[in-house]
This record gives sequence, C-alpha cells and structure tokens, in this order.
Amino acid sequence: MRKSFGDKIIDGIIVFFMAIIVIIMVYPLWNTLITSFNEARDSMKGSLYLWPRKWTLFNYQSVFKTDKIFKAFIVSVARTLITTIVGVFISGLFAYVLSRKEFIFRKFLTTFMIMTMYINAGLIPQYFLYRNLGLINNFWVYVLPGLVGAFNVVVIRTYINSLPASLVESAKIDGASELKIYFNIIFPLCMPVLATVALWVAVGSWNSWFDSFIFAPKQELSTLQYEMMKILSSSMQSGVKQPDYLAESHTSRSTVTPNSLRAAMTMVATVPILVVYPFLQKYFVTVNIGSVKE
Amino acid sequence: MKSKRILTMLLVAVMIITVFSACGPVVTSPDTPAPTTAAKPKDGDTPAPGTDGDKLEPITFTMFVAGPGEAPPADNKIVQKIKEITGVTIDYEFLVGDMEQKVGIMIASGDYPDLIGAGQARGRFLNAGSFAALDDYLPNYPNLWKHYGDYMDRLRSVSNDGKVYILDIWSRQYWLNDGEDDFYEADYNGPAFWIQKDVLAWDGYTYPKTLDEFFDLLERYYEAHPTIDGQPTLPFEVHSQDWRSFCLKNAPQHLIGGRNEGDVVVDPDTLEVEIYQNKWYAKDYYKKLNEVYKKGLINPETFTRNYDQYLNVISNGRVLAMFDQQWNFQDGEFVLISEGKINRTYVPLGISYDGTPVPYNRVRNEGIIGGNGMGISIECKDVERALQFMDTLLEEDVHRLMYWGIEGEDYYVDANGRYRRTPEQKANFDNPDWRLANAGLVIGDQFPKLEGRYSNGNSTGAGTQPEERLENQFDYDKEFYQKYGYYTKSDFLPLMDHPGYPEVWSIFSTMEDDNIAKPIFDQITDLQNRYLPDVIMSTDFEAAWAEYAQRYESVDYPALEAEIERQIQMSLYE
Amino acid sequence: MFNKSAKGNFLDEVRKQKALILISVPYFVYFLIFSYLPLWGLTMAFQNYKPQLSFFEQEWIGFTHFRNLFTDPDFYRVMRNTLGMSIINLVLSFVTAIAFALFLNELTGPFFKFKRVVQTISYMPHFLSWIIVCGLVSNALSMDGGIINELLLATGLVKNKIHFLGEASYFWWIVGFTNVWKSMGWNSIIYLAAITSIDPALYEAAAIDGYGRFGRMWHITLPGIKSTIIILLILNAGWILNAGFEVQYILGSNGLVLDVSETIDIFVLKRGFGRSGGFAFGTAAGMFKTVVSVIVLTLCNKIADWVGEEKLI
Repeated sequence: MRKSFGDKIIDGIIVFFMAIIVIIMVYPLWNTLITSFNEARDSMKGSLYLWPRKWTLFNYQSVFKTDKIFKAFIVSVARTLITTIVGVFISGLFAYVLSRKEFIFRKFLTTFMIMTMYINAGLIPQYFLYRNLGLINNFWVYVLPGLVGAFNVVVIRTYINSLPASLVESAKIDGASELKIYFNIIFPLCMPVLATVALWVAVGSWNSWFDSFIFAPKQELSTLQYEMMKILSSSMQSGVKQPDYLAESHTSRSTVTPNSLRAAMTMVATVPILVVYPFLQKYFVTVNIGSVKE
Repeated sequence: MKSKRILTMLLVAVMIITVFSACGPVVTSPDTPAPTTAAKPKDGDTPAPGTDGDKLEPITFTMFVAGPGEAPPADNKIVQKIKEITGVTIDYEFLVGDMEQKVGIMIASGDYPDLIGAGQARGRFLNAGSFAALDDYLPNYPNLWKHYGDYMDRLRSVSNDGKVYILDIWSRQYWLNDGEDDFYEADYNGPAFWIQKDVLAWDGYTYPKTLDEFFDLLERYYEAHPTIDGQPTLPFEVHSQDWRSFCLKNAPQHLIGGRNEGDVVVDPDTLEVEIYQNKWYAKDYYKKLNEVYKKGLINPETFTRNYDQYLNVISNGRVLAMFDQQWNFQDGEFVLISEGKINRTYVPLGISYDGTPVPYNRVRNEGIIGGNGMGISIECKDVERALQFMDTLLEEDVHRLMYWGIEGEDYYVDANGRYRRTPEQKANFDNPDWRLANAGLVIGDQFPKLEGRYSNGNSTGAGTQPEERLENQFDYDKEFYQKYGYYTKSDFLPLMDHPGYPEVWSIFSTMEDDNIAKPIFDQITDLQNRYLPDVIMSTDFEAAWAEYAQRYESVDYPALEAEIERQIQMSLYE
Repeated sequence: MFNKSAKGNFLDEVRKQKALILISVPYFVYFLIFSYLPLWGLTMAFQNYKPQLSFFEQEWIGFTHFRNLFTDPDFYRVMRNTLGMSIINLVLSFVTAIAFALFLNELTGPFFKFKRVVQTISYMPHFLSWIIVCGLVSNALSMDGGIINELLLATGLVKNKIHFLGEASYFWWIVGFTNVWKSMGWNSIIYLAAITSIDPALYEAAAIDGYGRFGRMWHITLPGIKSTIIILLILNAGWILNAGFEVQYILGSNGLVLDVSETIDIFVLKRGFGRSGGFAFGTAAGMFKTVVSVIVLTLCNKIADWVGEEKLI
C-alpha cells in the first residue's frame, strides 16, 4: 500500500512528537544512571543533568559488597518466574470460564472475584491467615497470594469477549472439552493480552519487597528488592544522630548517600526486568484467527 | 438463586470458624512476663553468671532492631572473635519499612525475637508487655550491675509497673575525674542558629547576640556578597518539610533560654509547661522573619525545598545561616569539607532575646536517662545467657575489640600508652563498608557499652580520644576558634546543667496509645505547619498572625500542657 | 410446579456445565481463603483495638472510629482533595495513554523498529520509585535553575519565575502530570494489546471507503478497543478514593500547599500514627472506602449497561 503525500506528513508529525516523548521518558532513567556513576557527595550539590561530574563505581560496590545480594537475586528470579508462568495460565483459564455467557455461576463468580479488588481486611488478619497456612518465612508466600489477580482476569476476559463467539461454539459442536478449547483455541489467540498480564505479574512480583518485610524476613528468603531496601535504610542512619565515637575526617571519597545508593539500586533492579518487555513485544501482533480455526 | 444462598451460608460459616480458631494471638498477659519458664536452659547446667571459664555452648539469638542498620557479614573478624569468647551469634533484623506495621504485627502475633532493640517503638513494646522484667537478674552480673546498679530508678521510671524492662545502651559514662573530662565532649550537633564561619570572620570575628544583630550581619554580608561561587547567596534558610519542620518551629523556646523540649517550654523552677507557638516570644520571632523576608533575606522557595534540595544549597556553600540541628544538615557540611571549603561550614550561636548567650541544647551529660535501649523479649530462649553475653561485652578487653579493633591491625599503642591510628587505619574506619565488614561497632551499637574512659585513661572510642580529635581539626578551624578563645565549636554555647527530666519530645514515645495529649499535639502540629510559612510570607503580618492565633484558640492546648506536666512529674530523676 | 421445573432446569444446566463448574471450584476456594477469610479483621473497626490482646479481650466501641472519621474537621477537606486529584488523574491518565497507544499504532512500515523503541522507552519511568520521580519534578519546577521556569522565561511566556510548588492552585495539576509522566507508557500497553484483536480487514475496508488516517483511528481503532477502555474505566472508577499518597506526601508536605495536598490516605496515616489505634482507625477508613467503591462500581456498571456497552459484571 503506497502512502500518500498527506500520510507522509502525518507520519512526520507523529514521529516528531514521539521523539520528544522518548526524550522526556528516557530522561528520568538517564538521570538515575548518571547519578549512580557519580560520587555521592558531589551529587549532593545538585545540577547533575547530562553526564557524571566525578566518576565512581563506589555506589555499585556498596550494593554488591556482600554475596547476600546474589542469593537474593536468585530468590527474586525464582518467585517472578513461578508466579508469572503459573499465574498467567490459571488466570487465563478462569477468564475463559467467566467469558462463557451461558455459565450459570458467571455473574456470582465475577462479582465474588471483583470484590476482592476493593476489600481490604488489613495486615494483621492477613498475617494470621498466612501463619495458619504455614506461609510465614516460607517461599510460597511470594507466590500464592498473587497467583490469580481479579484485575488480570477481568482484562483477559474482556479480550476473549472481543473474539468471535463462533470459535468456541464450533469447537463445542466438534465435541472438544473445555480445557481443550482453552488450550488449543483461546490461549494462542490471547497471546497479546496474556503477554500484557505476564508483564504486570512479573513486574509486580519482581518489585515487591513488602511481603519479605512482613511475611518472610528470614535472610535465606530475602529478595533483591528487600535486600536493597535494607542497604538503603541503613544508609539513612546518617540522617539520624551520628554516634560520637566515629572520628571521621570527612575527607574520604568512599562514601554513599541514600540518593546515590538509590540510583545504583534502581539500575541494578530495573535492568533485568526492562529486558523482559522487548522479549514480550513479539507477542503484540495481530493473531490470524483463521489459522487457529483450522 | 438457591446455590447463591448456600454459598453465602458456607462463606459465613467458614468465617465464623476462623474467627474462633485462627486469630488469637499467642496470649501473654502483660503482668506475667515469666522469666522463670523462658529462661531455664534445657538441661539445668546453668552457666555461672558473669564468668565464662568453660567452653560455652554456641547459641544464636534473634534480634529485631526498631531502627535502621545493617547486619554484619558472618566473616567479620570482630564478630568471629566475640563469638569465640561468648559462643553467641546474633541474627539481626533491622527495621526497613513502616515501624507501626512491623511492630504491630509482632505484638499481635506474639512472634517475638529473643532480643529487641526498642528504639522509637519502646512505648509500643512496653505497653504490650513484650519484655521480660530484669530486676531480679541484674545483680547477678557484675559488669551489668556496675553499669546499672546506681541507675535502677531511672531504668524503672519508663515502665508503668515500676520494673526494669529496657536497658539503656547509651550514655553510661565512666570518667577518671568527674567534670575534668568535659572538655572532650563530642562536638555539639544540636539545635542553634548556625552561621557560616566566613560571615563571622568577614565581620572581624564578632558574635551576634540578638536577632537584630544576627540579621543585620546577614544583611550586610549579603550586600557585600550577593553571590557565592557564582550562585545567588541565600542569607537565611527556613527548612519546613514534613517532620523536619522543627527548623521552622523550634527557635522561640531557645530564644528565651530553654532546652530543646520540642513544642513546649518548661519553667525550670515550677516545672510548669507552656505551649509557646502562640506566645509573645514566638510572635516576635516570626515578626522578625516576616521583616527580613520582605527585605529579601529569606527566599520564598525555602518553604518548598525538599530535603535533598536543602542539602544541595548548603553543600554549595550558598546558605549563610539557618536555624537547624547540625545532624540534620551535616551531610551538606561533609561536601563542603571534602572540597576544602572549611570557611563555609557552620558554628552555633547562642542568640537570645536579652542578649546574653544561652545554651540552646548544650546540656551536661546526665548519664543514663531510661528507656533508650534494648530489652529481652518474653519469648527469649535463654534470658540468663543473653544477660551473660551483655555482661561480657562490658569487659574492657571485649569493648576494645568492638570500638578500637585489634591492636596492631586497627590501632596501635604509642610510647605513652595512648591508642592511636595511622592514616590508613583511619581511612579504613571512615569507610562505612569497611566498618561493616571488619569492625565490631554493629554489635556494640545494639548493646550496653562503656563510654568515657577505660581504666588506663584511653577513650572508649577513637571519636573521643583527645589526640585523635585535635589531629582531625583543620588549621582553619584551629585559628578560627582561637580568635574567640575557644577550642571547639561547642564552646560557642554556654553549658547547661541537666534539668532532671527527659526532653519533652521524647516523652511522647513512651506515652500510652490513647493518651489525650496525642490528638491535641497532632492538631497544633498541623496548625503550625500550615500557617507559619504563610505568616512569614504575609504582606500584613498582624492580620496573618491574628488569624493563626485565633485558630490556635480553638485547640484545647491547656489539656496538653496539663498532661505533659503530669508526665514530667512522673519521670523526674531522683 | 413452576418452581420444580425451574429447579429441574437449573440442575440440568449444572449437569451440562459440569466442566466449567469443576474448573471454577479451586478459584472460588482460592478467593475465599485469601481474600474473604481475613475479613474477620474488619471487626477491628468497631474495637478499641490493642494488638497485645486476643480477639475476645478487645474492647468494643461501636462506631466511634467512624464518628471520629466523619466528624474530623479535616475530613471534608481531604475528601475534596482526594476526589479532585483522583478525577484529574483518571481523566489525564486515560486520555494520554489511549492517545499514545493510538499514535504508536500508526507507526508502521519503515517506522516499525522505531515503534518498538518508543514503546520500550516510554514505560521506563514506571520502574523508578516515586521519590526519584518527584525529586526530578521538584528540580524541574524549581525557581533556582529549574528547567520549566528557565524555558518559560526564555520563550517570554512569563516575566517572573513561578513558584510552582508553593502555589496551591497548581498542585493538583502537578500531581496529575507527574502521574502521566510516570505511567503513560505503562498504561498504554494494555491498549496496544487490545488493538491486536482488531481484524485487519476492517482497515482495508475503511481505506476503500475513503477514510483518512484520523478517520481510521476514530472509526476503527478506537471502537475496537472500546470495551477494554470501558472495563478499565469502571474498574479504576472503583478506586476513586485511592488518589495515592506518595506523590502528594513527597511534593506537598510543606505549609504552603498542605491544604490541597492531603489525601484521605495521608490523613488516615497521620491520624493513626504513633498509636495502636491506628490499625483500627485505618480499618474503619478502609471500610468506608470499600463502601464508596461498591457504590461507584455499581453505578458505573449500570451506566455501561444503559448505554449498551460491555459490562463489568
């Protein structure tokens, strides 16, 4: 299809605005990156815009000073992978069930599920529940509570609803079982929305530290984010009264501030998860419905 | 339809069952902190308290610290040495997120660690009965008894039932000669009007004693130096973000000579308490600020600067003066020091209304004040062993390991028997990551410790060793202080005797939860934070102040005053 | 008679849908356990809750917490702020994310690679913590060399620098646009996914009918993702009282804008801070928010039904 002259102008305008957006959107991360490579005390002076003034790797050394962070990294990867893979499969299945207009419990189950988004019992009863389930200081406390999210199910269901209803009907006539319809027809067609949900679940799981803090503070179960929160919060000590016994001469360059540490940590925690998206992008293409039908 | 009803009933039934089965906390009523059951070692071979002659069975204590910090790696050499000596490993958990949530859950569930660094959560833990009473144990441990024996009343004063639950970990001073060592007190880092040394030097090493003289000097210096290092000069900063708004609010109490109590002043004779943010000495202060604001000595952006931006402008050397506590802006000062701009660092001024310098918060050390430390939880697996561990930490040899390190590696002893450090050893200690991996401070900081002098006359830490401190002083500072006949920046303020009760702001952290003072205190804090910046920036000061004062009258602050008076009476030292 | 046959039909249906029901059971149990079981904790809202006491030892105080909440002189102010910022956020974030997705979708052919780059970069701010983003926002808005003021001065749009963060009237919009900055790319992902379900044949047909680029966006793409938009709008409307607290807290905790910056979440945190009653008060406030959510949700669902759009339930 050849583009007209007018189309080309529109293309130009869109590309121009997108370029501006790219600059605005890339800047925060860029600023964080240069802060992470700049000496902490120098950063405190501000006006750090485009390039580090005093290069250092010390901020990163402070993040990686013990091997705890590597163990925590493995825990984080494990929880993210398991939650994402299992979560997406079973959320999709439930979404399929709820998309079936003739299902007699559809209304009830949908309401029952959606309500969970808006009710909040609070932390203390949640703690008791997990304790009774044996989830305190247990790896599965990272996985189970976030496995099926109502929001995700609704989003997938909406997508399924937008597919031609005839797909399911003709499969039923062919005598296919529900699970078979889900796995063979619905699942492949839903790749774009499932990829989106996978991204949500993965990012949520990767970024969370609160569940470690409250439910699994044990060192062996520490996650990357929790380990970083620990380093960060201990660096805040200098904001509180400094003990008198330290005769620091304060000329030392090997020092960190909460801000420089936060910058380095953000880079360490963000880069692995940023990589996920381009990988998922390949599922963001129109699926040929005809090909699945056959 | 019916299926719906069945499901609903099922749901209700399940919920009822859970309420009755699942939710009870491990109930431990607060008045029976049974040390006898929890403390007994398994097979009865109680190690003799205080002495650790035989090989001790290894034991691990879990410890929660309600404050920031970082656990040392297991291969830290001092941690290993102390493990060899005591057989004890401490498994730390430092607070990372919200204290209320973490502590609330700990209390509700009864899932306590063995040891608890109470920090700001002490009131929470005390009211919940989380600690084991230690009164009967302490006399059995010679070092602990020497440490606390004289202060039992103060330790008891924090609890409601008059027992010892929290062992103070700071401020137990061991001096050689009483009083004589005061010169070696640590640098003052509390509240004051802090002013750049360069401003005073420019004026011929003067000492402004009143607000008028102070702002007059700032104005003259500002006229002569409209920019500093190419950036606009900021004559006076009033930081007012969030909880750091003490920079905005706390000056008036000092201008009439008071200590840092927070939002009240206490009459030193009658111990009567007065809220001061609506009194004449507050009004006069804000009126002065309003006046200098109109002259351009205060930049309006000072009220919206976040903490980072505040440190920005300080570390650029552009701020001539501010009311603040030194620890709050010291990170900015460190930058100035590392760039050699010693003349842009600050000294405190004891400005007052009547023109004689007042002490602000330079208060003679009162030793142990009670409540500021750690406790042993009611779930502790072995109370006696824990106390014995702490007793051992108070041995001079063990203490030296934690605070000086290993002789020959981390410090050396000179010909006069004084502990000194080579520049390299100093540099190591300056590096927080090195300290975490190689020093024992992490242990020491959480437990009772010696402060002051060892029996051989050396200081209990490098920071208070006189030779080390003088060596660290910059030439600029030495000369600067000499012009005034001073030795340190602390000397800019007179020294005040301790008034005999804890600072009022700290009383709030041990108050019971439903104390009536708390909501009233919230209201006045809100009011002050919301109105004072407007008052300072207003074109018509009197009208703005009148509105603020009128709003103030709608708050029941006399009830707050009465309650604080009662609390002070309760916590008076003997 | 009628009942019986209805019951018969019902059982018939159950038999026919055995597979669907069997699949649903584990989900039902899952939500029951993880979301509904802990609801006993809502009783806290009616107690003078003390964590050290067991359930049976708590003191019951009826609606005191609710009374405290609703009679607090600041309650209506924080409700106004919450609703104001919530609505601004909702509108801004929906409009920007949808528009962004639509235009991104137009990057085809030679720009396909560029599209992926833009997409990947646009969602980066989402990964930065609020404290970093807000720090950059305060710096950009500062009068002390902040880029926004410098640009406004340079282009002659203003004569004097503007004290953005000290001016109450700007605050809600600053929060709104900060949200857009952080989340626009992230929020657009779902629309990009939804666009993939549009049948390509529709575009070809539209081209033949003589629709231009914008015509196709308006008549094909937008209707194609309408159901997703509506569903997300309903779900988000349910969170109308969650205007957030981090941005407002970091950017707005100075005396000059406190009046307009405090949301209900900040208010509840403040009132509950430093006392164990905080848990109970927070629970009471949470219950209030749930009730509002249910009402708004039901309303929106009804409206969607009336206008014949995809319903949530």
